[in-house]
Order: sequence, then structure tokens, then C-alpha cells
Amino acid sequence: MTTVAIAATASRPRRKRLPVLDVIAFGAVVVLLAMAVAGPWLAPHDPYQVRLDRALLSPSGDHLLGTDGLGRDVFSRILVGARSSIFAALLAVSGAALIGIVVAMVATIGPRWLDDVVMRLCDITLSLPVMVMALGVAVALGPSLHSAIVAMIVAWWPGFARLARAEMRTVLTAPYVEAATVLGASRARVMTRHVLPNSLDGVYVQATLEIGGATLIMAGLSFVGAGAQPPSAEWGAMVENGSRYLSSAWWISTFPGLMITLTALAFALAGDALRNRSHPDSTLG
Amino acid sequence: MTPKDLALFVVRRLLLLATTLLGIVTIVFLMIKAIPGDEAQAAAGLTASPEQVEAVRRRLGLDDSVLQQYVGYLGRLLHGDLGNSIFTFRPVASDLSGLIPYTIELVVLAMLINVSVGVPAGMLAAARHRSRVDDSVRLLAIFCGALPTFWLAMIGQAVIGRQLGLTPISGVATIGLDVPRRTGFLTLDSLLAGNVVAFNDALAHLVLPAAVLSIPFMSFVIRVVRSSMITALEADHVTAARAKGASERTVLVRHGLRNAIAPVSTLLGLQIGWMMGGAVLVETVFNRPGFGSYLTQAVAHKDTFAVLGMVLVVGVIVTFVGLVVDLVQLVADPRVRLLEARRA
Amino acid sequence: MRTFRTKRAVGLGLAALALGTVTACAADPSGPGADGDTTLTFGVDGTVPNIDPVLADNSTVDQSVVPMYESLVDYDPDGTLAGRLASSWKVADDATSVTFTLRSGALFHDGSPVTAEDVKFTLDRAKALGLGVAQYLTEYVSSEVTGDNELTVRLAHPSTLFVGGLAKVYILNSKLVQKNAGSDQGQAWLASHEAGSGPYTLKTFKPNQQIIYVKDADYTGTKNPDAPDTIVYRLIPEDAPQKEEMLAGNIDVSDGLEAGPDLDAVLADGSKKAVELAKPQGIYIFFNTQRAPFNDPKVREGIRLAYDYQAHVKTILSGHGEVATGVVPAVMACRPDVQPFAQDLTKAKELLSGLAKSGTELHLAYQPIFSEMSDAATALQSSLRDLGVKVKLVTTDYPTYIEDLKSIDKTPDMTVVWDNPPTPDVGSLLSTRYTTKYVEKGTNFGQYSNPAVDALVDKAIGTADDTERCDLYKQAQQKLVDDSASMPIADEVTTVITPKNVTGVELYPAHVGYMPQTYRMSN
Repeated sequence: MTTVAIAATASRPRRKRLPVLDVIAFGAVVVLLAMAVAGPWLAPHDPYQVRLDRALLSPSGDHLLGTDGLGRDVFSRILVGARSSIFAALLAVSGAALIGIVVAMVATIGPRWLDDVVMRLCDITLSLPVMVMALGVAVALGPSLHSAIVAMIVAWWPGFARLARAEMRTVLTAPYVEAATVLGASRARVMTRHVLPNSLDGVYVQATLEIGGATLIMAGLSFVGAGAQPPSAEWGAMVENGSRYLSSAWWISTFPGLMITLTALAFALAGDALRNRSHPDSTLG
Repeated sequence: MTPKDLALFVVRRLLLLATTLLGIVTIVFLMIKAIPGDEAQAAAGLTASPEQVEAVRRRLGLDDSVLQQYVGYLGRLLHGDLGNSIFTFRPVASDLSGLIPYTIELVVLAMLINVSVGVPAGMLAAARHRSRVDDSVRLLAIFCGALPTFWLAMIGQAVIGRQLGLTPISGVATIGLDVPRRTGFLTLDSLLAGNVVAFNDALAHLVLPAAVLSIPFMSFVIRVVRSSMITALEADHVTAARAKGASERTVLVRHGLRNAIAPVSTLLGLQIGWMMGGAVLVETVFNRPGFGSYLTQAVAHKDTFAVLGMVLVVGVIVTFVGLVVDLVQLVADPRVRLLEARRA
Repeated sequence: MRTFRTKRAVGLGLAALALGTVTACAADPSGPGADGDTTLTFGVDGTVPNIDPVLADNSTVDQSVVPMYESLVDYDPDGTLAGRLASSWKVADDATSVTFTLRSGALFHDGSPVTAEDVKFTLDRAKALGLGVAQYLTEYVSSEVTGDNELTVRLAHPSTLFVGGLAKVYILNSKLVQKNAGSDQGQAWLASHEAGSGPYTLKTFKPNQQIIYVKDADYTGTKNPDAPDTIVYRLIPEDAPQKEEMLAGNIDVSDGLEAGPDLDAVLADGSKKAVELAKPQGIYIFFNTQRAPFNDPKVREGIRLAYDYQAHVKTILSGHGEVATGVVPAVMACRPDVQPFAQDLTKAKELLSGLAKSGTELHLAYQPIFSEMSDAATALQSSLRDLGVKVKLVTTDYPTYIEDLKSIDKTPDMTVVWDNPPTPDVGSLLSTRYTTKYVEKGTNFGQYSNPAVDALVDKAIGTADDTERCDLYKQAQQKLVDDSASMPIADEVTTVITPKNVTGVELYPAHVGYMPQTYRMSN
């Protein structure tokens, strides 16, 4: 709701997206990242301290966002949970992007048949929904935040591999690259010195855009019990934990749910802004 | 397009399909092999006696070489044998075939909502490009994409289902409203039985879960419709058409929407698979039987063959949907696909 | 034994009949029963994919098959073992065989008589399948049919526990099962059909969704004329939708409601009442007593003194329980007098100082699908952290845990688990959980081995005199408490909410779930 309101006040007919919104999005990302880093030091209470005598207290001066079913401070848990929630998404996306880039390089340098095999593998993996794939991996590795991250990397690398491969092919045909080849640079040298540095912009932008989605999926996995486990303050796990108190202690589930939404929104808007900067004439988004 | 081109395209596409299916099967087979512990024990269930475990080991040929096992696995799959569930004590294949209709019903309705809201919204934004309306629709789209499905489902259930009493809270049908099972699709079966009350009831149970499931997906549809229509509307021939005095409505539908068909149908094809993933969360919250709730239960009980059977079936469904999408596009605009096919 | 059940502390409620949603109202036209018929809708907090009575060791399956079947014997609410399909039984003097005489005139739902052959078939089948209720038949060797209504069961060892263990072994119509059986002992068919002689017949079974039973007018056992004509089970495993259905008033009877605002809201309109049933079931923490550090009773005692039992009952159980007063649940017979366990942080710190100094990280296993277990594990972890003892929570699931118990090496340092005695006879719990012959067998949760306890329990099981046997059991339990063999936390109390016109909601000791056929409805 707030974002819509912001848009309404700030929007005048203009060519490009509103810088105000961009600033807010980047600001929110910075705040979230700061929370992920400094959360444990900012928390007013010990987020893991069970105080059964203080269970289910509604929001007050002492407990800004109330306490959960075991008397733990919800506000402190949200602060601390930022680390597992956001870093897990970052890790999953950067892992997937890295693998994607390496695979794309191999496919680009390697022989035609290798390229075919790799692209087929991408198609096959993409035909398995992330959530389904991740639950399969969770059974194989046992449920934990680590297996959720592994599962997401396994499910997401093909998207990046395809993108990176497409960009590398474009760059390969650029005049300066062809010039370098003509001048006798080795194929590997051409790849690492010219192609790689010039074909990753799209991957960076895509990665930023995907972080929001990754946060959502990670939280969903924790919600169904295939992700973070107690006593973790991961936000999806917090929503699940509070679900049985929804009618009597709404604050336990509601606030972490809002944080997940805010994080996904902030990264989506920031990624969008990045994309608009790197391709100013793009009308996507 | 010559008939030869068409035939070539179809053959090529079917070959791709076969390799994809084989690939999925291989991945699932490797996952079975990768899971720690005794496979025969897992297949027989942990309560099985040593003799039963040995019988399973022989039946599955687990003493053979991995290659022989792989061939045997393919053979069993061809007979529809996905192994047994240690949780329901039944063959996974028969469990799944009973559940498919519930999930398909949910996904189809979610898809209808998705398209009937997403496409007009995207068109509106494109028609009012660079206006306040455009900005709001775009932001709304991004916002929809940022909502956690499970959280939305919980809140929707508590507020719309209980506090406002507008929809049933959970389940697929009201107890006592039974219609003869023919297709397994509750809505279809109640229509076949001519039972309007049961049809309304089944639909009422579907609406909220389907709406919740569709919301994050709308975000993509709106954005793709919008961007592909804007690209089309800025093309030279459209400017020419406008100059010739074509009405704005004609331009929008003839040139804009038609251009959006290919990317949108590709997206919708992909979204069917993603929605089956999303159904995991929605079915759990709304206590609906189906793929999703079966999968979460199977995971909770470490029911290896049930989970892998699900992975396989979903992969196969998604692959076939991909084929259907390609064929639809071929019919809608043959040139595009044939060009792509040649280029590939 | 409760792996099908998903979460505890669930909310299921009661119908304020006028308050249903539009669709709930639309239900009744084709709903079961015309005028005058009575229907009770039960909320069941579990999943039932399969109604084969061989799986009745699981409490959710048990409550789903109990209206349709009869066993040979069962425990009455006062704790006495009484005949059901058996009119009498006689244990041989050497306790190695039992002769049953069946109730004459008993009929299955298809009209065929219940014979000794059916009993033999049922026992042989469970034994051959080796799952579920087969665990009560460990001593079973064979049956010899000596007449239409009489058979003799041979046992491997003398046992006073065998007959009580038959309370959940439901007798099958052997001809009907064989007619429909493939090579699987009828497992596929019985998964969704019934072959019983009980007071209700099966009308509809939708796996994991609903079960509807209809009263059988031709039931041959003791009739309960005031029982509801139709019983509906709605299976809702997740907490949130259950609570929402309850608050919306779509369910008549529920046994998972938390005390507090939700319970108050449901009772507010005065049409329902709450009945508290103390159950033979509790939550425990078991130590791996064969391995350091828990081979030292002092360390076990230290952990036991670190936990806040009162707060567990008040907060985690929302008041639905009592602090444990011994190694077996308080409702059982033959228990010594033990003070409720209590927290003593000073003494705990002293006993655990060595462990804290060593810096060892202990593993505490729990099943994440049960919120009481994950809450208890989290709370214990937090208490021990305050005392400097590091604990890592690890997830497990019931089948894996039982498998891990077959090896001391794999048994976790500590495990939080629900336990209920295999049968209401205290000896069944003491022998399977605490004696040496069950170490590494999957039922001795603490791998506990103590010759003194073994001797007492073995002697008790072979003792025919009730008072003398009871006394031996009490001595064994006192030893287990003194040695901190395990850490019992709390006994569970279930609140059953029913409409005000329902009576007869009682605890049948062998069954922890509903016994709807015993309910009586008045106008």
C-alpha cells in the first residue's frame, strides 16, 4: 500500500521511472543489508532466550512487536532473522549465477555438442519447479537452511546459464572481440579478457531481480518445514511458528510476513531500477 | 511455410520432448541413488521384516550393476510403477492419479484468474504508457510479485474465510455433498451429476485458494503483456496504421495484443509448472488434497518414493505443457516458430 | 506411535449451527440423515491415508477404525479388562497359552458369523505383515481352532501381558478379506474398505479428508441406543485451518483446542461444554544412557533439574496437562508416590559444571512436525545455554528415530518424544522402554540397562498375584526415577469439546483418540 501511495504523490508524466522511488528502493536494500549484518547487535533482547512466563505478550514498549509462544521477543528475532533470511537468498542467487556463468563459458568455448548437451540440461532442470525440486533435495539431504540453499542453486543455475550464454554469444561477434581474435589472441584469453567482463551486466541485473524471489521461495521452504529449523529466527519459519496463534496473537506471523514482503519488494524495485539504468531505452518492467 | 517445414518442426519438437523426459527420469534415478541409507529398506518401509526387505531388494534388482538397475527402473516406469509409499502403504502411482484432478482444478482456475486480470491490466498500462495509470499498474505488479503466497493464504483464510465468512475456510467440498466420482474433478463431476448445489460448493472452495495462488503470477503476466505491447505499438507499421486513421482500439487489439500472444503463451506455459510448485504452499494452508499437500506430507515422513514420484510426474506434466504451448504458437503464428526452429 | 498425527494444540470447534457460511448451510440437503437422525461431526487433527486396522497402533488410525470393528477384549474406563468378541478367556497355568471363547451370535456387517477361524486369520495376518499391531503379538506363535467359537493361542514365553495387548487387534471377516485379497494379505483392499463387526459401518472414506460412519441396526454387541446415527470425521492436519473451522463453527466435537481466547470463544454461546480427559500419554526426554556424558546419572539428573516443568504445562501445553510424577503416566495403576518434577537451577548448575567446562556440544533430536516437541526442545536448549551447556537441535522423524535406536552409536544424546504405553498394563511400558533385552531393538528409547530393574520387571511379568506384581512394578519405577533413567516432562490432558447434550465422553485406557460409539446424545 505504501508504495502505491508514494507513486501517486510523486508521479508526473515523465519519460523515465521516478528517481524518488529508486532512492527509496536502494535505501531499503541498504537498510535490510545493514540489518542482516548488524541485527544481532541491535536486538534489544536475546532472540533465542525462551521466557515461558512472558509468552504471547502483545506489542508494548518493552516488546515492540510482542512476544511469541515461547516468550521470545519478536522484534529481536526479526532483526536477527534478517541474516538467515536475506543472506540465504543472496547465497542461493550468487551460487546459481556463478555456476550459470561457468557453465555458459564452457558451453561457449567448448565444441558444439557440449553446448547442445548443456542447453538440454538447462531445459530439463527448468522443467522441474523450484519448490518441487527443493523438497526433493530436502528429503535427500535432510531439512535445513543449507539444503534449501543447495536446492535453490540446483534449480536456478540454468536460468543464469542461458542468459550468460546469450550475452557471451552477442559479445563474441562484437568487432573489438573479432579484432582481438584476428590479432592472434588465444580463445581462452579472448574469453577471459574480453568476453567475460563485457557480458555480465545482464547477469548482475538479473541476479538483483531474483534476490526478491529467492527470499520468497526460501521463506516458503521454511514454512513447509524444508528450510530453516528451530530455534532459527528465519522469517518464513517465524510465520509458520505463529500460524497457530493467528487468531489470538496475530503479531507473531504478521510482522515477519511483512518483512518478507518488504524485502522482496525492495530488491524487485532496486533490480528494476538497475535494469532501467543499464538499458535506458528498455521498456521492460 | 511448407508442409515439410511443419513436419520437420514437429519431429524436432518430439525428439526434444523425448530427451527431456529421459533427462528428468535420469535425474530422479540419480536422486534415488544419492539418498543415503539402504534403498531396499526405504522402499519396503522401516517396519518391514528382514525377509520383506530382501524380497524388495530382489524385486528391484538392487544387487545388479547400476546400469542394469537403470534399465530395470525405466522398465518399471513404463508400466506405471513409481514404487510404494511408506506412509500411505499404497503404490505412489495410484495415490497420485487420485490427486491429480484436485491440483489441476486449482491450477486451471488460478490460471483463469491470472489471465483475466493480468492481461487487461497489462493492456491498460500499455495503452496509457508513461501515464500515472501506467506507473500505478507497474508498481502494483511489482507489489503482487513480492507477496509471500503462504502468508497471503493464511491471512486470506482468517479474514475472508472466517471473519467475513465469504468463502469456506478449508477443504474441497462440504461434508455430505457427495457426487459420483467419474472424472475426479469435483466441479466437472457435479455438473455431470446435474447437481448445481455441489458445483457451487466445489467452486466456492476453489475461489480463495486459486485467487491467492494466482496473485504472484499476475505480476509477470502484467509486465510481459505491457512490455511486448509497448514494443509493438511503437513499431513503424503501427504508426503507419494510426496515420491511416485506424481507431486506437483496433491498433491496440490488432497490433498490440497479437504481438503479445507469443511471449505471453510462453510465460503461461512456464507458469503452469511454477503454479504446481506454488500449490505446495496453498494446498497446505487450505487443507486441500492434491500434489502439494501430498508432497509436504511425503517430505515430513521421509517418504522417498512418493517425493521422487511427484518430482517425476510434475516434470512430465511441465514438459507436455511446453509442447502444447509450442503447438499453440505454431498455429497462432507459424512463421515465428519455424524461424526459431531453423535458427536453433 | 503417533506419526500420522501432525500437530498438537490444534483448534477444532463446535458448531454454532446458525453461524455456518453460505456453503456450510448448503450442505444439509443431501447431508446424511432425515428428520430425527443425529449426526456428530468430529475434527481430527491428523491424516488417515489408510484404514487397515493392522495399523491401529497409530492413535489416529485407531480412532478411525474403532467404530467399525471389535477386538477380542478391551479395557473399560475403570481399567478392567473386559470381553468384547470374546465372552471369556482362560490363561493356561504355565501362561504359555490362552484359550478364547467367542460371543455366540456375533455377526460381521455382511451377515456372516464371527468364527474362531476369523480370529486365527487376523492374528496370523498381523504377525505375517510384521507391522502396526504386530508389536503386541511378539509372543504369538500360532492359533489352534478347536470349535466354531473356540481357539487356543500358543505363546513363545509365559506372559501376563499378551491378552491386554489384543485391545487394538481388530478382528477381520476372513472370507471377505480373502475374497478381495491379492498377494498382499488384503492390504490394498482393507486400506479403503472395512470388514468388521462393530457398531458402525463405513459409508464414505476419502483418504486424508473425511470418513463417514453409519450406525448398524444389526449390531450384535452391547447396543448404545443413544449413540449418534451418523458420525463424520473431518481430517485437518494443519493447525491454522483447524482453528479457523472451529471458530467458524463447522465442527461439533474437537479434542485439540487450546485453553485461552479460542476455547473461551467457542464456549461463549453456552451450547457446548468441555470435558477433560487425562490420557496415558506423556512427553519425555530420553538420554543415550550408554554413552558419555549421559552414562553418568549425575549429568542426567542435572539436565532434569534444568527444565521448567510448570511453565511447560502452563505455556507450551496451554494448561492441558500435568507435570509428570514418575516414569509412567499418572492415570496408570501400580505407581509409586513421586513428587512432581521441578526445576532447581542451583543444583543443576552444580551437577552440570563439568559438562559446561568440557565444552561438549550435545545433540537434542526432535520431530519438527510436532510443535510441542520443537517447543520443548527449544526451551531446554535455552535453559541449558544459560547454564553454559551447548546443545544443538537436530531434526528427525519417527521411522528414522526407531531405526536409529537399533544402534547405540546412532541413538542421539537426547531425544524429545511422546510416549504412550503399548498397552494400559504398566508392565508393557516398563519392559519395552527400560529393560536390557530391548536395548538396540527400537523400543528402549534410552538404551537403558540396569540388572536390578531387569530382575524386578521380569519377576513382575511372571507373577500372577495382582498385589505382589504391583509392588514389584512400583519398586522398579522408583529405581528408574532415582537413577534419572529418563526425563518425563508432562502427562497430557485432552480437552474434548462437545455439544451440551452429549454424555459418555470417557477415557478408554487402550485408546487415546475418540471413542464416538460410546457417546450418548439426548434431546
